[in-house]
Amino acid sequence: MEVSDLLISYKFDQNLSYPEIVNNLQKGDTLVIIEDFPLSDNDFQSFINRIGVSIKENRNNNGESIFDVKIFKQNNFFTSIANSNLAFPLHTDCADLDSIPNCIGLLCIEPASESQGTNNFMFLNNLIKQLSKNEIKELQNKKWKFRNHWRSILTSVNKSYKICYDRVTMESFSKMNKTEIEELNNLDKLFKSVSFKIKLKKGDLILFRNDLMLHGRDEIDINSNRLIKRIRFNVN
Amino acid sequence: MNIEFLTELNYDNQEPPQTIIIDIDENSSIGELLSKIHEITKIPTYSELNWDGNIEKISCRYYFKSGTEYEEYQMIRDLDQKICDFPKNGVNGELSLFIDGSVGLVN
Repeated sequence: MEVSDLLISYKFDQNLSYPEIVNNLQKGDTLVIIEDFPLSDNDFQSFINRIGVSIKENRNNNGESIFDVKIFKQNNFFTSIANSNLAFPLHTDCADLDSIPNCIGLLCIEPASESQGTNNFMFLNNLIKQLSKNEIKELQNKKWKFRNHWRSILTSVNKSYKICYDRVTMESFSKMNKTEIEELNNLDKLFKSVSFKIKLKKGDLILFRNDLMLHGRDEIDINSNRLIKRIRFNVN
Repeated sequence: MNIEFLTELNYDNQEPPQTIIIDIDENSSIGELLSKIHEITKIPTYSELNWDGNIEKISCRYYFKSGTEYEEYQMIRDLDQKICDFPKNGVNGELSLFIDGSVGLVN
């Protein structure tokens, strides 16, 4: 399948249809990309307000809903993996929080040069096709520790599946044995094999389901000015 | 000066903030103040994340109380900013800080 088959594309101020965008996010089997999106926080927030309910966090800009994903250090250390130049393996955002938002919007303000910082995505649908019934059952049954929460990687909701995976959180906050590490290694390989890459351009806004796909990014040069604005939100 | 600080922000289980007295000029930077707090309280300045053979130290994040509600904190991004520039919204009018070394380390 071509990457273009997995994308629903719009141009801002040309063919935007809010109900259609909401519908696509509800179905969750495509990514929504909007080109030529205005680069201001206000426009970004207003747009999200029309399609869902955004999540406020203290660490966001002014404690509201927009977070700047850029290289940022304090005490000589990065303030998160998102704020580092490191490659970020495929994951679910907020996998360790009480309530996991079901959608994410990433607005590219400044891309990294060349292929650096390219985003990686994996649809849960494509993963399920690669798994046997037993493997699906195992992923539903085994609970992993996501900091303060024990969760399975797959859950079944109304005859469909949802995914929760963040190896950095899972491995950092719990002691794992060799077999479990091997399980995660195999899962990472499998996820990577069904993933695809999208390099965002300046003014691209990409919207996707956080519970029906995994996302990540490639490494970035430490001096890069890459800036992605992020809003986490819920669509009903 | 009196400083009120929290190391956990849990709306459902609101622990009372600790208060400490720090001998510092309010024209000093907030970074200097935070270094002194780390020194006195022994709160580590970073946490370690491990995955797939990688180890990365992640800095704790600092927040100041920006309003009167329990969870009303905003991130301190510029550690060179002067202490006197920050509002004093603690219970008794102190500068109130939240030092977060656990949530949001990853994304």
